Amino acid sequence: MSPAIQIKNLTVTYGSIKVIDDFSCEVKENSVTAIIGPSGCGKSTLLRSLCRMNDRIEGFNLTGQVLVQGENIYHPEVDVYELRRRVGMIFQKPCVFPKSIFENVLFGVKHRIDKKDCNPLVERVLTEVNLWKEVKDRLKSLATTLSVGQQQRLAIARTLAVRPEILLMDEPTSSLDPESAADIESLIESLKTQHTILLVTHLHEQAEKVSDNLIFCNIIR
Amino acid sequence: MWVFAGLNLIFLCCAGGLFLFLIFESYPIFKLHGFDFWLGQDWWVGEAYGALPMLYGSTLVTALACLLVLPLALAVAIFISEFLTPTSRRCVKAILELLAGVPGIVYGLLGVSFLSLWIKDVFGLLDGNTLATASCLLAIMILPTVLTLSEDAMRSVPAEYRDNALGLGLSKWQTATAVVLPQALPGIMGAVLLGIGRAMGETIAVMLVVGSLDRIPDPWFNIFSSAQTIPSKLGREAAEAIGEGTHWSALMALGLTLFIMVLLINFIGNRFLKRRSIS
Amino acid sequence: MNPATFEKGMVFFLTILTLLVSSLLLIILATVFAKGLPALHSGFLIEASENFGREGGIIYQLMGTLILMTGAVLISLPVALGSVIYQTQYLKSETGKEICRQFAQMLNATPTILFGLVGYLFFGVYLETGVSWVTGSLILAVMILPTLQVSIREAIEALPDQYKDAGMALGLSPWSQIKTIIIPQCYYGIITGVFLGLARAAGETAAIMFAATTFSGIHLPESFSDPVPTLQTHMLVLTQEAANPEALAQAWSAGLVLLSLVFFLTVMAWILRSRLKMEAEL
Repeated sequence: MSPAIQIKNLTVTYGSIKVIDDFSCEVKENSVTAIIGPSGCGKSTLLRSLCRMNDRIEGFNLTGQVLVQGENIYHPEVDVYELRRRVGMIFQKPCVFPKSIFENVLFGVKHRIDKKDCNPLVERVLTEVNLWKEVKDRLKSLATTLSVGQQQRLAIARTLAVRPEILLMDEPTSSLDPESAADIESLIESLKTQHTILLVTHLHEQAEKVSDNLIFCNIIR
Repeated sequence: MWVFAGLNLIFLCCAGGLFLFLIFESYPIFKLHGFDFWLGQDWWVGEAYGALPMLYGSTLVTALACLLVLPLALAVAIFISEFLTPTSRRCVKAILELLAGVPGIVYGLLGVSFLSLWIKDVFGLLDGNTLATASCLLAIMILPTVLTLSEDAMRSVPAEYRDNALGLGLSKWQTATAVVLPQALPGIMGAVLLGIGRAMGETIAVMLVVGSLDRIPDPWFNIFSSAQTIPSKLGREAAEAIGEGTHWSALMALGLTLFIMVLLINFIGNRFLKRRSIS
Repeated sequence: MNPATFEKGMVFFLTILTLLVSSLLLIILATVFAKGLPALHSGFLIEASENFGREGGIIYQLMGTLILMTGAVLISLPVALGSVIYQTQYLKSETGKEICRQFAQMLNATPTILFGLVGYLFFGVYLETGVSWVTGSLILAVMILPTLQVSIREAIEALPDQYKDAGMALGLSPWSQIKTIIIPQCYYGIITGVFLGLARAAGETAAIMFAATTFSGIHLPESFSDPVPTLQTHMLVLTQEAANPEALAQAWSAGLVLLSLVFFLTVMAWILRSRLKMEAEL
């Protein structure tokens, strides 16, 4: 069985600045891999390169290969939008859209599923992130009224609704209080049975607690 | 310090005095006609002063210009803010800023020499100076202003929202319409209202192509007939009446009406823009 | 439809639309050049107009426009500078600042023809400056006041607080702070405002057409009570003679000169503004 992600000789530059230099690695399916290192060493860039979120930045240039489930995602014929549905991304700062909780969960899929599948899907993914009990009575209220920790779990639920196989998390706990952070950490462990997870973090402790593999980033000059 | 306070007072007096002056100067006509001034349909110097045709003309011309500008500005603003690279964005914005500075009289000349002739030929009219001509010309004039401000409103939506939507697998187009546009909407509304305010007060370009006929078109929705707007009326007649008499007072009352309309529109527009900057 | 395909179609459509809008500038420029160049003979800028503007040059009209806009900026600049300094340095109350802001917005939104009418009555009749270039300059000065204020305010507010703190720590009085810190540091902001104000004044017709201008007869003003001919009103009169090809050709040439003047001033303002940004980043 081929690994979920294979990176071969990846080099990323922004204009004249080299951010990642000749990096290679493999990530096994259904595992948690933590990427740690000092800030500014290219952790986020690496993560964002895996779902081509850097494409629209001016001066971005990438050489080498990134294979997701054996397919080179930088091949010109790859459908970027389809790729991003398979490789979901959670960002540092929880960011919910100024709509209802219900609509937020369905935001990524609403054009592609039937009306009747909506309710079960919302319940399923909200249960997966342990948010269902807290919000089931106010699905119609604005998502921005939730606490920051709840918002981050909602953001994860929103990504899960798209059914990605790989989850990229960019310091998902850094803007949360310790309790919410612990919630997210246990959530990561439960998600690992069905998802391949890449986690960027600056906390060694967190990395050792939840991850199966560690990647250390160093500043590359 | 008192020097600066005095200079500030001069500035405040300029703004406030303008308003008081208009009220003061137009008082005689309101004393004479009351609020019928706004309802009267006839304007014969020395006999009757009715502002309705001018009010109607101004409103219709502005509304039409707005209808023409809105879809175009929206579409182009989306493209500039969401799809262009930063370099070409700056380029387009510079072009728009230059366009916004083209003097009204140059637009007027263009309107007289081309637009009104085209409209005459295309629609087979006897006279190309119509409401429709004025609206088209105004639309072209306010497009750069509306466009720049709308684009600013869209750019001010934080990048995280775009990242999140794209991360969910939405296309750039879906991101632009479902995430960026709804959040930028108050700002865009503000931009459009400021544009309307500008269009309503434009004198020279409109005066040259609107036909200057002081009556409500027949039927009322006939946009291919000549009409009159408030600024154009002022521009045509103020020179004859300047200084005193009922005629002057009537013109000042028209000016006051225009001032209040433009001010209201601007006030609402700025409220929209401000709401954006708070949220 | 596949979102990627749909997007490609939309992007194609919008590219064309944006190109069209951007080319508006090109079209306007090209038209004014094509129409204006033929009548633009070597002496156009330095000859007087003849035969009611249908022949000859535009020297006096150009001078008139320059006189009016320079006068306007000279009158407006001290008021704008003083009022912004008062509002940013002395005025403490938030309500007061808000009122000033509202008034500036009001002034900026006012239809320009109203400046012309009210200004003529106030300056021309009550202050007895008559139909003259002084009245015109005063009216334009009021009109460009908000333009100048915005630029100056931006420059002053962009000043880092350290400057002010440093000044205060040195025991400078508010007045010497303004003289030694604020005005020199905001130099480029002020000049940017001046150029934008000049550009706005140069392009304005409606505000001055009754109060300051004349069509023919007068060349250069000999006293404070003389009106001047201007490019804008010259164009207006000639345009209304649309049936006469000679007049129209002269109008286009005058338009070309006016447009060049306005664009030149705007581009100068940009260059100075980028200087301002560079200074701010240092």
